[in-house]
Amino acid sequence: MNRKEPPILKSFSPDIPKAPETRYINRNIPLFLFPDPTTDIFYLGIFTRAGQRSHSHPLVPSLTGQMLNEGTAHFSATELAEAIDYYGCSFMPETGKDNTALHIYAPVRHAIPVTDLLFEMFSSPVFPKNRLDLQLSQRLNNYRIDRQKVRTLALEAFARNIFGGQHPYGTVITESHFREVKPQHLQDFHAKFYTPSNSYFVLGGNIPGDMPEILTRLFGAENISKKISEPAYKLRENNEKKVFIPVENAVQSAIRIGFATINKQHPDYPLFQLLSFVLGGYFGSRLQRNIREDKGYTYGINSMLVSLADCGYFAIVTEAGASVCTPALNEIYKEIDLLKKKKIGETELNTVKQYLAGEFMRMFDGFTQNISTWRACYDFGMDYSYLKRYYNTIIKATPGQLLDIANRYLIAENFHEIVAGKK
Amino acid sequence: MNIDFNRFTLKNGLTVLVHERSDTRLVSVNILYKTGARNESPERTGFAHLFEHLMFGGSVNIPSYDAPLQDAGGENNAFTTNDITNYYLTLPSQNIETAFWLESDRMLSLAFTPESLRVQRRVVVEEFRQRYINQPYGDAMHLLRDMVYKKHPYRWPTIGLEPSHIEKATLKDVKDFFSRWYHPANAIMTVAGDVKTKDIQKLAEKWFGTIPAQKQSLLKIEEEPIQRKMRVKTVIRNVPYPAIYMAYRMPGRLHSDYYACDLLSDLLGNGKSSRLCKKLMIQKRVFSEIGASISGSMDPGFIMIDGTLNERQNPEKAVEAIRSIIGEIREKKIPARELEKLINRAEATILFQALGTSQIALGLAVYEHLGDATLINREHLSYRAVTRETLQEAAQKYLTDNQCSLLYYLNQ
Repeated sequence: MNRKEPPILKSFSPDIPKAPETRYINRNIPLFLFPDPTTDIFYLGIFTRAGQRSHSHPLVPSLTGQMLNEGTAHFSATELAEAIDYYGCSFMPETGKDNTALHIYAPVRHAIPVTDLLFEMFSSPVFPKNRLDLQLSQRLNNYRIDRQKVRTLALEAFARNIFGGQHPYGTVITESHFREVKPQHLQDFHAKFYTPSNSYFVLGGNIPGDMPEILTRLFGAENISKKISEPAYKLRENNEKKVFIPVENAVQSAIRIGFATINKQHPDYPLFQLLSFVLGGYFGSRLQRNIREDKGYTYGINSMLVSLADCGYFAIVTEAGASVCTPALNEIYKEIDLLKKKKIGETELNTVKQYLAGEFMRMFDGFTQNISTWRACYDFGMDYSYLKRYYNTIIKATPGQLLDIANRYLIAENFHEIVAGKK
Repeated sequence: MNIDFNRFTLKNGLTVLVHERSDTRLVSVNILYKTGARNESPERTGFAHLFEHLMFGGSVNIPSYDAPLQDAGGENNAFTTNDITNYYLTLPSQNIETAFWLESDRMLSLAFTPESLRVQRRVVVEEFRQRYINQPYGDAMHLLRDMVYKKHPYRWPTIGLEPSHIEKATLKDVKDFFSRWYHPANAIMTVAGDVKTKDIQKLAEKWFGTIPAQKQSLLKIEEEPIQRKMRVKTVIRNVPYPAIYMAYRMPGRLHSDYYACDLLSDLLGNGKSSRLCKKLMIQKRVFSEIGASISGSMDPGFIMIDGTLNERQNPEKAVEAIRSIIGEIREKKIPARELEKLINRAEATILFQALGTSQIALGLAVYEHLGDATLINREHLSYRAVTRETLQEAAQKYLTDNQCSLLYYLNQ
């Protein structure tokens, strides 16, 4: 046995499934099932098109989601908290840029009562004023603590710069926003967007056999409502692309470099994302190897290509030692230039492809992963065939294709550069 | 829960556990070294964690750990605690041998290059800055641990007491640490996923069997003196709101009172219906955030209550309010339904921690290190066995002033 020789690698390829088991609540509302009979955990998720994008006020969408369990038609906030905790249930509302996700995990023996609770919270929250005041007060405290972090300052300046302050993606939260919110705003937002027909449902883990019928009985009772009209907000990037936010006594500077771009519905997306991966998407990437492993300027540096409903964005993100902020910036631009000038070598490209093939397998491993992977397709009006196309594109990708994508998308004049800290 | 596994030990002392699954095509491998911040000396803290970083800098026969694993479609990470260092990876089962090749080589010997040390010292210092120095309330745990422990190595957190300890680490320190603590009998390996035990046995013999056995190095930990009265400290920091941190001593992981203490922390501050949240955050707005948890260490640890105060709230009065709620728990048994709630939540947490091959591999390794891997299927019973009486007794025994360390973390 020779320890210097790696074991022979065997080929493997991900099994991308055809589609999850699909049923319908009331003929039109999809219900996707991801069963795992080996666990005793029951999962129910409701995904509603009620994200930040759906309202001009930056706090209304997330507060609406957060306050579903702060009092309903039949239960007070205290009663709901007691019940949720008693059933060993974890209830997590998550409002993102485009959607609100309501997740419930519980031991399967409590599946029915927690489903009833979720129905109660989804359909009849009352948004009591005193509970809203409490939420606002807690949030304001967290907001003030957060603003001491360079990462927060860079993140919000970046969003405002690349999306523009007129679009909910780019609106910066200020203290006055906290004073403006009233229960009626949340009530109106809820009434407009939180309907079963504006949502889809997911069951996972240990699913009791009668769950689909129970969901139909609870959520399928409404009449099919007409399509919700949403205002269109304009995306408009800031002309001044370089922003520096000085922070006294900062020992690290947060850096965010990037721009608004295509989303995953565009045919160039898979190759662009592969390029982003090579640059800074994994531990052996260009940025990690140079700026972390070679120079030790940072604990972590990543590049990412993110897809949203109205557009996508590309970003390079790091917190670097304040004294090496400028050298770190220079190295980032050097790595971007290198991608545009020199074709990637076959060995490096092959390593990336193999790693991503493994990632494709991990994306379908276990019901929680499966659900995330499905949502990433379905939220954009696509299904697993998207992932099949995606996988085939990256497995066949050539150095020439990546060079081409780099030169078409990584255009120097398009980059916004945000630094918070010291330069 | 019914997680089956097989267990065998190599001649050199390496223990291996295998959990076979047919519902996946991946395999997770987990290597737990029975060493952590507890193995450090007070002048050289942060070392076990720095060492974890160095494990990725190349081993004696393999210049790079990450690239060959990526070539095999694998992903990996690691973490260090006060008690253990843990390395874990997941890859397609066809390439399981790559995992054995990589892990056995770095158990055999690291490359120990000055370059690797130079870079990782800088990276870890940046981690120190990013996670502790550059964050509001970032040094709270440093301060609290220093109050709770006078002699025991738990006195410092895993990241270390200060960046200078890391900056001063030498190659000799690194080699000594490795040779003392990184050997087969000081490790547990678990494998969970699309594998068969007999194949794993063959691979383990082939790659790990030739690593020489080494005697266990004895770690002498100075006994922590008994705390006889309440400890109080006040610091002033540049933060927007004052905060309170309280630590009550509790026994270690294997003690019979551990479960009652864990439930006490949940009763106090885990979830919106917990007593501190309900009374001091929602009903009376003393705190904007408050919670309770346990340190979960193998040697005696602590129950921690921590909270951020609202504006114009008096910190001393807030502490009185907390102590008053603790007093209620000491004086009166909690209602049966409240106990049932706590047990249900603990069981749900345990179920959740067994989702997926990576979690199962970790669980098996941790329980094996505690002395009995079958606890992965049985530990929930210990929570279910806690009664209203034993919970009250634990409150009376452990939630007392003379076992408390109280840190006032004030703004200007």
